[in-house]
Amino acid sequence: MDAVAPARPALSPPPSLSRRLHEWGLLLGVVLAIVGFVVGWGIGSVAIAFTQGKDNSLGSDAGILLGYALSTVGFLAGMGFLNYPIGRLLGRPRPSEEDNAYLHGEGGGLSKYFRMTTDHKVIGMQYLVMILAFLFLGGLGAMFIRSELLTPAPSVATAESYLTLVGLHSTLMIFMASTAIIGPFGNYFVPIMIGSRNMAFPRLEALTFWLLPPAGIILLSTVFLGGFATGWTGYAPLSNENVAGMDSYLVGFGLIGLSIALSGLNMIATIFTKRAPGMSLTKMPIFVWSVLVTSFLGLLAAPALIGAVLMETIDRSYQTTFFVPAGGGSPYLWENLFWFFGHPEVYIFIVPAFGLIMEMLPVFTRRPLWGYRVGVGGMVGVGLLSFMVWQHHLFTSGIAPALRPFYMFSTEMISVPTGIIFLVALGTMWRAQVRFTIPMLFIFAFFFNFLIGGFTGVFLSDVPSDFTLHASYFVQAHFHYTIMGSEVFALMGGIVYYLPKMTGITMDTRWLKFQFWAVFLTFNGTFLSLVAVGILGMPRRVISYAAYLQPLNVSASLFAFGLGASMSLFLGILIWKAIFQRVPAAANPWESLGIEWQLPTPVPVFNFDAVPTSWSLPYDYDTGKPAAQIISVAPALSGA
Amino acid sequence: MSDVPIVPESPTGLTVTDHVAGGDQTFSLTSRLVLAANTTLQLTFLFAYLYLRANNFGGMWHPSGVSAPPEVLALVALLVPVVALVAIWAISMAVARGTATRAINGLLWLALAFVVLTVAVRIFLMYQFGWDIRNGTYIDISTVWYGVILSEFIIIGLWTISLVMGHVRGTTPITSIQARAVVEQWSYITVAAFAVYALVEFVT
Amino acid sequence: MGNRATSIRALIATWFILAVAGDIGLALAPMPPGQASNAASDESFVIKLLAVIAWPVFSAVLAGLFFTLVINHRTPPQGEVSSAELRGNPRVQTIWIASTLVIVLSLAVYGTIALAQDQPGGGISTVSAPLANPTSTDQPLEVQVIAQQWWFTYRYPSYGGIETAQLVLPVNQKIQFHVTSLDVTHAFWFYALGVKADAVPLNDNVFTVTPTQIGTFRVQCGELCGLWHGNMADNTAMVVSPSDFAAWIQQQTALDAPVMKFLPPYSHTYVPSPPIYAG
Repeated sequence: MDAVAPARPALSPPPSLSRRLHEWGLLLGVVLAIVGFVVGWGIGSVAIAFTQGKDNSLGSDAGILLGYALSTVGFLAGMGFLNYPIGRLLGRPRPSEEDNAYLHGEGGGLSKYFRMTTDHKVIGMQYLVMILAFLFLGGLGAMFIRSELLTPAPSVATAESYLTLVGLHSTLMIFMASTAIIGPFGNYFVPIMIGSRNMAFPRLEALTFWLLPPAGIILLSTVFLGGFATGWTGYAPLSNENVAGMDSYLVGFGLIGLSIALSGLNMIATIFTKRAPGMSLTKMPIFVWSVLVTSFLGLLAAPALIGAVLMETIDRSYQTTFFVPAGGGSPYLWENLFWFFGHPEVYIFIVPAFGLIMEMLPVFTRRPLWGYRVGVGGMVGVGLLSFMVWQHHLFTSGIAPALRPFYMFSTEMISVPTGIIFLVALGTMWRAQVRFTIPMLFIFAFFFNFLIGGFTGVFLSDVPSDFTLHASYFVQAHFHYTIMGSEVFALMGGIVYYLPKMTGITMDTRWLKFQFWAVFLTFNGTFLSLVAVGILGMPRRVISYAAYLQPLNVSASLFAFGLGASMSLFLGILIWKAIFQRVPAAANPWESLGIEWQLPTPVPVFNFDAVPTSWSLPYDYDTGKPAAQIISVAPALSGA
Repeated sequence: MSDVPIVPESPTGLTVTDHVAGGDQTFSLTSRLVLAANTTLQLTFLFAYLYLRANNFGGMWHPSGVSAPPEVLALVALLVPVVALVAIWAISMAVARGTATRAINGLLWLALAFVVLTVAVRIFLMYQFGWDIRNGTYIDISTVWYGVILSEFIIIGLWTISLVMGHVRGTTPITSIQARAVVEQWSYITVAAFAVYALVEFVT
Repeated sequence: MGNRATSIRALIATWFILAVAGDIGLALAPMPPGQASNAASDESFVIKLLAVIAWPVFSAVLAGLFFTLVINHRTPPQGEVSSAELRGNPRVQTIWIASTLVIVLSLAVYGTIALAQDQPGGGISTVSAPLANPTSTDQPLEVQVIAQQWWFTYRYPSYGGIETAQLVLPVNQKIQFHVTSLDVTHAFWFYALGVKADAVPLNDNVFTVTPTQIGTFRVQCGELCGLWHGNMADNTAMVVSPSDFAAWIQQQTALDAPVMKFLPPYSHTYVPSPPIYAG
C-alpha cells in the first residue's frame, strides 16, 4: 500500500536570489526610490545647467520631474518588477515553477500583501487598503476646506495652503475614485466570476497596484515643493506659472493614467480570452460587463491624459509653449485634451458602481435581474457616448458657438442609457420583498443619490442654464452626488457585502445601521446645501465668498463635519471588525447564487480545483440554481 | 451536460500558462489592444498639431526662418525601420512554416541589428533638427511627437531584442503568435513614423 | 390583491398630486439668476423648465422605490409570473427608452432654438474695429472686460477707450462684452445678468446681453486663476439710467485724461509683456 503522495513537493531547495529579493522588496523599493530620485534629480539639473545655464538648475523642474520618474522606476525595480523583463532581455529561461509559486503567494502569510504578488485576490485586498487610504487622506483635506469656508473671509488657511488643500483633496479623491470599485472588487472577483484561475497578465496586474503608492506619495510631496494652485484640472497657463509643486501633480496623475490604461488592458484580455468553457459573453455576470466597458474607457482615454501631461511637463521644464498663448500655444489645447480624457474618466468612476449595484440587487430582492441585456446595452451605450461629450466642460470657454448645440445634444443623450440602470433596478424590485440588510440600504441610497446627481447633470448639460451654473458649487454638488453619493456608497455597500468572502470575517453590526443613516443624512445635508449655494452664485475653489452665502456654507460645513465623522465611523467599524474582533462569517451569509459565493472561504489559491464548464447567469432566484456547480477534486496524486 | 473537471497535472496544480500570460489568443488580442491605445495616443498629438497649426496663436506656429528637419536624413530614418520590419516579417513567415530553428538565427541577428540601428539613426536625426525651442509651437509639437515615436521604437525594440535573445540562446523559442505580434507593433510604429514625417515635412 | 391594488392607486394618486403641486410651485417660484437681463430671464426660464420636467420624473422614480420598500412588504404580490417576465419585458423596456429619448430630444431641440434665437452667449468675436457711439439701443455697446491676476478692468472703446475699475452699464442697451485676459484663464461672471465668459489670454470671448433692471450687482471671477481667485470679486457693478451713464462716462473720461497716453491702444487682445513662460 503506497503512502499517499503529498499534493505538492515541499519547497525544500534553498530560496533563489530572486525569491530573497522579493521578500525584501518593499525595503529595497524604498531604498532604490531614494537612489533613483537623487540620480534623476542630478541628471535633470545637469541637463538644465548645460542647455539653459540656469543658476537655479538644482531647483529646476527638469530635475524634479526626472527625479520623480527615476524614483518610481527605482521603486518598481526594488519591488522586483524588472526581474522578468531583464531576464527575457538577457535571454534567460522563464522563471521556475517554485519562483512562480512563491510570487503567487503560496506558502506566504501576511507578507504576501506587502510585496509583489501575482494572486489577483491578494492584489484586490491591496487595492482595498490603498483606496481607503486615499479616501481618508482626501477626506481630511475636505474637513480643512469646510472649516475654512465657515467664514466668508480667510480664517484657518492662507491663500496658498487653501488652494493646495483643494488640489490635494480633489486629486486624492480622483486617484481613489478611478479604481474604487475595479481595484478591490474587479481584481478580486472578475477572474472568479468568469471561471478563470488567474488574470491574463498577473505580473501586470501587480504593477497596476504598485503604481499607486508612488503616485500618492509623489502627489503628497507637493507640500514640500510649494503646493499647486490649479485644482485637479490643472488648467494651463496657470499650471505653467506654478512653483515646483505642480510637478508632483503632473507625475502623480500621469502614473495613475498609466495604471488605469494597463489595468484596462489586463481586464479586457482576461474577460475575452480566459473565460471558462461554457461561459459565453451573455452568461457573464453584469459586474463583469461593467468592468469590461470601463476597461475600454480606461485603455482608450488614458493616452490623452498622458499626452497632455507630457506636453505640460515639457512646457515647465524646457520652456516650450504648448499652452502659452504668446508663444503659439493655447489654453484650449489643454482643456480639450484634458477633458477628452476627463469625461470618460468620470464614467470610469461610475460604470463599475452600476455593475456592482446591479450585481448585489438580485441577492437582496431575491429576484432575477430584470433586463440583463438592456442593462448591458445601457452600460455599453454610456461608454460609447462618453467619448462624444467632453466639450460640455468648455461651454463658457469661448469655443465656437456652433459647437455647443451638438455637445448639448450628446450630453443630454447620455441620460438615456444611464436611465436604463434605473429601469433595470425598478424591474428587479418590481415584485420583490427586499431584505433590509446593510448592503441593501447602501443600494437604496445609491439610487436616491444618483437620481439627484443625474438630474443636476441635466441642468448642466443645457447651455443656457450652464451659463449660470458652470464653475459654481452646483457643479461641485453634482459630481459629489454622482461620485461620493453613488460610487463611494457603492464601495461601502460592496465592502460590507464582500468582506465575508474576501476575509471570512463578518462586518455586520448594529453600529453599521446607525452609520448608514448618519452618512446618508449628513451627505445629503452637506450637498443639498451646496446645490443651493451654487445656484445662488458661489464660484468653486474660492477662499472668500459673498456674505449672503454664509448661512448656507455654515450649514454645509456642519453637515460635512458630521459626514466626516460618519465616514470615519465606517473605517473604525471596518478596522475593529476585520482586525480586532474577527467574528467568522457564515459561508454564504447573503445566500447569493453567484459563483464566488459557492467557493469555499478562503478561496483556494487558484480559485477552482476543477473549472466548471456548465454556467448560467447567477440571478436564478426563482429556481435557486447557482451560477455553476463547484466540484471539489481530491488531491491529484492520492494513492490507489 | 455533465461537468468535465479540468484537473491540473503539475505538482503545484498549475500550468506554465496559468502563471504567466494566457495562451495564444490572449497574446494576439493584447497586441491589438495595444495598437488601439497607441492610436488614441497618436491622435492626441495629431490633434495638438493640427489645432495649433489651424489657430496659429500669436502668429507663432511657424515663424519665418524655421525649417523642417533635414529631408534625406529623415527619409533614411524611415527606411531603416522598414528593413527591420522586412526582417521581422521574414522571421514570422519562417516560424509559421516551421523552418529549422538555426536557419532563422541569421534573420534574427539581422533584425536585431536593424532595430538597434533604427533607434540610433532616429536619435541622431533628432540631434540634427537644430531648432531653438523658443521659436514657436511647430517646433514644440514636432519635437515631442518625434520623441514619442522614438520612445515607442525603443520599447518595442527592447521587446524584440528579448524575443531574439530568448530564441538564439535556446531558452524560449519564438512562437508564430509572438512573431506576428512583433510584426503588428513594428509596422504600426513605422507607419506612424511615416505619417509624422509627412506632416512635419509638408504640412507646416 | 385588492389591498395591493388600492395601495398602488393611492401611491399613484399621491405621486400625481405631489408632482402637480411641485410643478405649480416651481413654475411660480422666482428662479435664479433672476430677471435683470434678457439672458438672465432666458436662463431662469430654462432652469424653471428643466425643474418642472425633472420633478415629476424624479418623484416617479422615488415612488417606485417607495413601492418596493413599503407596498411590496405590506401587501405582497400574489400569483405566479412566468420566468421570462421576471427577467424582462421588451414592451416596458421599449416604452421607457422611447419616452426618455423623446424627453431628451425635446430638451435638446428647445435648447438649440433658444441658443440660436437669443444668442445669449457668444464665441470668438468677428468684430474687428470698435464701434462708434451707438445711435440706437439695438446696436450693441462694446464693453471690454480685461481680467488679470487678480482684478477686472473695463474699457469702453466707444468713449475713447477709457479704462475703468468699476463696471457701469446703461439699462435697456444691448451690451457686447469682449472678455480677455492678460495672464492666465479667468472667467467674467456677472451673476445677475446671467453672463459667464471665460477670459483666456490672447483670446476675445464675446457675450451679448441687454440689462433690463437698474441696480448694484456683484461681479466675480468664475475660473480658478491662482492664489487670490476667491478675492477677485466686487459688489460695485451698476446698471444705471442712460443719463446717469453718460454722466459717469464724462466723469471717468476726466479722471482718465492724464493717463490715457500711457494706456495701450484699444485692441481685442493684448500680449502680456513680458510673455509668461513656464517654470
